Amino acid sequence: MKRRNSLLWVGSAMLIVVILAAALASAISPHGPTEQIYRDFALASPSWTHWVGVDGVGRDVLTRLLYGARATLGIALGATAIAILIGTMLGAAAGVLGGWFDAAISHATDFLLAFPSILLGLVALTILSPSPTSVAIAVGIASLPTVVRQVRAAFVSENAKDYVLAARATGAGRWRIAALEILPNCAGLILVLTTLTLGSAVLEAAGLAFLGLTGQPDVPEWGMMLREERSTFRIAPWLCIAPGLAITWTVLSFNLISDGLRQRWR
Amino acid sequence: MRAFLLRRVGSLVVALFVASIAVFLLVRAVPGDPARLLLKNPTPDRIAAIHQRLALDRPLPVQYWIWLKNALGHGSFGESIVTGRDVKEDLARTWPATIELSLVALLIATAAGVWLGIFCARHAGTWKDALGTTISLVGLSVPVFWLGLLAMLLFSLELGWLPAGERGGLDHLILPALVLATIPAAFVARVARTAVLETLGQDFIRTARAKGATEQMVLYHHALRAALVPIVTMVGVEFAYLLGGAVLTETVFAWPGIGRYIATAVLARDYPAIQGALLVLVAMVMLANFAVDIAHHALDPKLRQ
Repeated sequence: MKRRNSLLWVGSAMLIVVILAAALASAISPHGPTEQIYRDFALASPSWTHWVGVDGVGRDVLTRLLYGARATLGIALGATAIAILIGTMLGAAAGVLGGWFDAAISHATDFLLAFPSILLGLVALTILSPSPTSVAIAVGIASLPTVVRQVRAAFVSENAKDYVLAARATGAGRWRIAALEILPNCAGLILVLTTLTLGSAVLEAAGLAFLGLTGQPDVPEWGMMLREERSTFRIAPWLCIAPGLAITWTVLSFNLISDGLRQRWR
Repeated sequence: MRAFLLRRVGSLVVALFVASIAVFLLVRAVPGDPARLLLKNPTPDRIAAIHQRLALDRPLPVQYWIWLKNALGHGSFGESIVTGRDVKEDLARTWPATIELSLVALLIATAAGVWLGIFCARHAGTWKDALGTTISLVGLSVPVFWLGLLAMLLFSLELGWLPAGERGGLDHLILPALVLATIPAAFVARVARTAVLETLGQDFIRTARAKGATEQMVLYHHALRAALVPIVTMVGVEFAYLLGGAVLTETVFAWPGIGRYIATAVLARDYPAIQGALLVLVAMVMLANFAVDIAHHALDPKLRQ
């Protein structure tokens, strides 16, 4: 039991670091994320004044990492909101309604689950123009099938339980039962799915940004930073190491929280 | 078995059909004249020619039928906007590279994942289990493209042990395959750990131990065999992961496969190339899932009746 809680605690502590970095970026760093004040120091190694060094065009890398936390968390939150809200509604509707609607939704999710999610993201981005918002939408869509399938399965199994039968006996309609009886009992699952999706969304968004699909180069995003610093990574490897560590740290925090929650609810 | 095979082939065909409709509609969903999207230099003559050839003035189902006849009958998706070659040629060149990379990565991921899963399960509750579980959790959280860059930096640029990308002999394959295998290996390890732990608690394992089977025998003969079904089921999911990861891994290692091809195509809005590559990738994933389902069916006695 102790280890289970420790997963949750370690994950939360790690996440708080990221949230603080994002929230206090402008307070911590004296520079702006796109400020080129150190042209003479381009590619300078990490030092006391520039903890993670200076990039090829003279921008302080730590500052960009801090602001990058904003972009990354923003995209991940947007994508997860889309996936969880729409996914829960579709999954719940399929579980409650049954019949042809359920069959259609189930077939569609099975079909989409066969695809690598980064491919779904790529496809969505061939229609949308490249921007952080598009990436959030693309990643959200790519995460939908998993959420729909899990929520649907939970609703179907809850639907057969006694408390639902009792509620039905009192004359409650099926939507009322779904919203007031079943949904609260699926809260644990939805919370686990939320943290899981947040983690995979960070990875996926970083991947799409690394491929160059975020557009707008003035918004620092960790995956995009990796793309930009690739060319100089032989002479200044820390420029590449730092954003990757930041991504791993953030994703790991979400995965730890998700594992902790899952074990707690089981 | 025969009825199952027939049904499974039927659903494969339907799925491929639906996928082809989706790929076809993709270009039609982009705002603007599809003819302009499909051409490198959209002069009025060439636009008119495309309109004629693809029957863009006819209803969508007719357009789809003509597109499908071109795609299946002649294997033609048009000319790539980036390379200027027929997409068919590009695909013929790139798909073997992707298959080579993902099959090797699949082997590595499955072997490493199953080994780590069994390792964790037999030491359940000890620090060894905690270490293995942590490793697989970190493995799930690392971006593959970053891992690729680090591996390249260390093993190619610093130590000079292995070539830094591009396709070639076996030595060219090692780094990208290992990197690509990371996330699926971590995934398999988690599934294998749970599956083996579950079977280790069952009566037939107690019986095997009681009759004096060695621990090795119990683990690798009895427990692993029973845990094989969830592990094989995982291979299908793994393959989807691998092809997704291939897009990033191939980009990092300049591996001339379909993953890098489609990434470049999306960036350049090269619609003929996107359509062709997408259809081939989708077919690969579906065929893999098909093969997994057959294997699953053959392995699970409960499904055989």
